[in-house]
Amino acid sequence: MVTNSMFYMEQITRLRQSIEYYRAMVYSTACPAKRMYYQDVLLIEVDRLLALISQQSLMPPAPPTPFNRKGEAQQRQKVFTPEELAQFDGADGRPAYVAIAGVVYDVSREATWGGGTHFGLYAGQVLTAEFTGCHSGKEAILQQLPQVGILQT
Amino acid sequence: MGKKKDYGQEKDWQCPVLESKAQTAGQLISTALEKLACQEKMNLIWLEATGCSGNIISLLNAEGPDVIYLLKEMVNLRYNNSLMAAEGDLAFEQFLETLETEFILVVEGAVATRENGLYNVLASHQGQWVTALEAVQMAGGKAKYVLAVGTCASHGGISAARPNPSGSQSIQEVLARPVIKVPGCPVHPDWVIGTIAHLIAFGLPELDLKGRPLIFYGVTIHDHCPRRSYFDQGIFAKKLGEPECMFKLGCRGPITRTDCPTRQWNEYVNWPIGDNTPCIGCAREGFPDGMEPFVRY
Repeated sequence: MVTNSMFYMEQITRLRQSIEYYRAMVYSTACPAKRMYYQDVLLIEVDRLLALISQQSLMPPAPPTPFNRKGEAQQRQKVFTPEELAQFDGADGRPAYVAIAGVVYDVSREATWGGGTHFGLYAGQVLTAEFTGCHSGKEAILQQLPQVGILQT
Repeated sequence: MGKKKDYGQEKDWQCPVLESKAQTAGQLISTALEKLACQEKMNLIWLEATGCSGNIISLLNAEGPDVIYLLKEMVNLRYNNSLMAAEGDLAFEQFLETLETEFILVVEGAVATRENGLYNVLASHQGQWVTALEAVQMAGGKAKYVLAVGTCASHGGISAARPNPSGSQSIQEVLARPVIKVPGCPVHPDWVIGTIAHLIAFGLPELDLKGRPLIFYGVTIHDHCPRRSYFDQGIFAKKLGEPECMFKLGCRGPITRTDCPTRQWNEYVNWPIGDNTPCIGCAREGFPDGMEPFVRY
């Protein structure tokens, strides 16, 4: 448990450092395009920080008792069934989620996912094969995306 | 997770447009004319291949400068089936004669390759049909510069859309030499005339990784969009006609690089988002199949 807390504190510290850095760049840049770029990157780091905080409580979890077993389960990530995932297809203003390699990502604010679609692909589906077919070697793309859960196996 | 990132050494990211921004099409052209005052106008061949002729029509809509200016002051248009006076064999003779001079080749429309190009016959010469494929390869081999004008010529576009019965390909795919891509569906006349002006006065303009002039294709529509602050604040239009960001309705502005928001169309008065319809990414590689659906409800 202690190791976990340390790991997350380290993550949070890194994210705070990068947020401070990008904030400084936004204020100090004269070029408007550059400023927009730094604002975009800043938002990505803030999203990551929020995702990190919401996924993991900073309080050490209570020892398991018959009364709070449920509490433990809640701390695990949301598990999506394929039917649930299909709801989040980006239509009608709904969020757009895609599942790649068992992890569900939120692509609602991704620039390349206008209208919940991406070069002929629709959100609300498992797109592992399509991702590896087109972006193999670029797994870093996935690290930029906010994770909202895992796919039921 | 766990990978060490060194935030102190961010690669110095240069905006490619800041320098090019100083040169508008108008400025380029007046400088070009000064230089041209003492030299011969270059020849230009404009081939209409497997396309809809939308780009030559867009050219005729040019305003700053207009097409008369282009023809009188900038280039000698030696061959174009829409605008030239000669017909038939005589017209094609002019094409063949121009091949022996220094010329710029402009091709609009993709090139049909099925049945050895017979899906698109450009001319008839001494009883023989000349396909677009032949003409493009003949002229492409000898031209000083080749411009692929319009999305079909640059990236395949609508001519090459699924299932592509004519086997249409982009100009670069049928020519083994560098081709400048000037995409758009249709292209904005300023983008073509501006690129030609740069070529005749200064030679090759700075091109991006896809071969498009950075002057016109350096920045995405998203980065210039007047509705950008709505996107940044997460305020989205729920249906067409609302003034907020149309990202959730399928706008392709974030992935399309042109200057539509600032230059605008039809003599600089309007453009899609300004008229409450989302960008469909018409100047992008992958248009139209990869840009669908154009509107998502």
